[in-house]
Amino acid sequence: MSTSPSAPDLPPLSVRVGRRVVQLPALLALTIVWVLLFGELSVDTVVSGLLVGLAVTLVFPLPPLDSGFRLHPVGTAVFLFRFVVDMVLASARVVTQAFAFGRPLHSSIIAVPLRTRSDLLFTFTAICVSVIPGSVIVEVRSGTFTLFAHVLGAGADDVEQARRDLLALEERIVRAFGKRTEIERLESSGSLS
Amino acid sequence: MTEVLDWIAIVLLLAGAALSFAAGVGLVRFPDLLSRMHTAAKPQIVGLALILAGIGLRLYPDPRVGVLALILLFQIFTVPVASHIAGRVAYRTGRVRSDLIAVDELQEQLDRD
Repeated sequence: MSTSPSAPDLPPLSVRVGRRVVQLPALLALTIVWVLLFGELSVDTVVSGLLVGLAVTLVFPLPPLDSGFRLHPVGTAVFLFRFVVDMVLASARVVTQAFAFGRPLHSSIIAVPLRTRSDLLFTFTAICVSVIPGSVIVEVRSGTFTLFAHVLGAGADDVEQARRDLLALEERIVRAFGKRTEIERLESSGSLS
Repeated sequence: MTEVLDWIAIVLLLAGAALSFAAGVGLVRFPDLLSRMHTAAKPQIVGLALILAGIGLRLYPDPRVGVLALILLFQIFTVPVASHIAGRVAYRTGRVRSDLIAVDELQEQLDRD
């Protein structure tokens, strides 16, 4: 939290160009995408990528992300590993459900009140829930940080388990990317592991 | 060595294709819109990842493999937006078969609002 008197609202890692603020992480990310699209790392692609990225960030300025992002190596490794495992298991389950015969498939829409209060972690959790097969976000309440997820094949008995799974996913994400205050909030409101 | 890699690539491609096929089957066989969203909005991310991995193995020394990583990344980032909007619209316009929903906590929440 460094605040200089001349630019109190300037986020970290940003430079001022005229009246616009260019966020260097965004510029770097755009350049990397540009270089990957061209498929070769050379002076030409990097320089042209920087210029295009600069133009894009100047013409379409975005508000800065809240800086509530910290990378915890162990937490990230745990999160990534479990994410891949979850994806494979959930895919297998959806495949079985697709080919299953018998009674029609019943599902549930569950409310999951998340414990994080960071917009970034909230969004990240919502993306992960959507990407994992078997759950689709139907509604988001950003005021109360609640996700409403449609869980495929979950009957009345499976609702609590599904909610625990999603909260455990949130916990892994917070432990991987959350600030210390976020992790403390998680622990004070009842950690699952 | 290249032969082994080729075989691994073939297995990956076939596995990915099988998962995508299963997604198509789910699209036809699932009973209502919200269930179909599961397979429609994300044509089996794991299947896509396997296919991209297979292509990547064949391409490997070629630096264009970076594009494959971009495809997977943007698929993961854009899928939730599409499925959330479609799911939300489906729910709000009543295109949900409530006889197939065991527990509906969103309806309870909307009743309370």
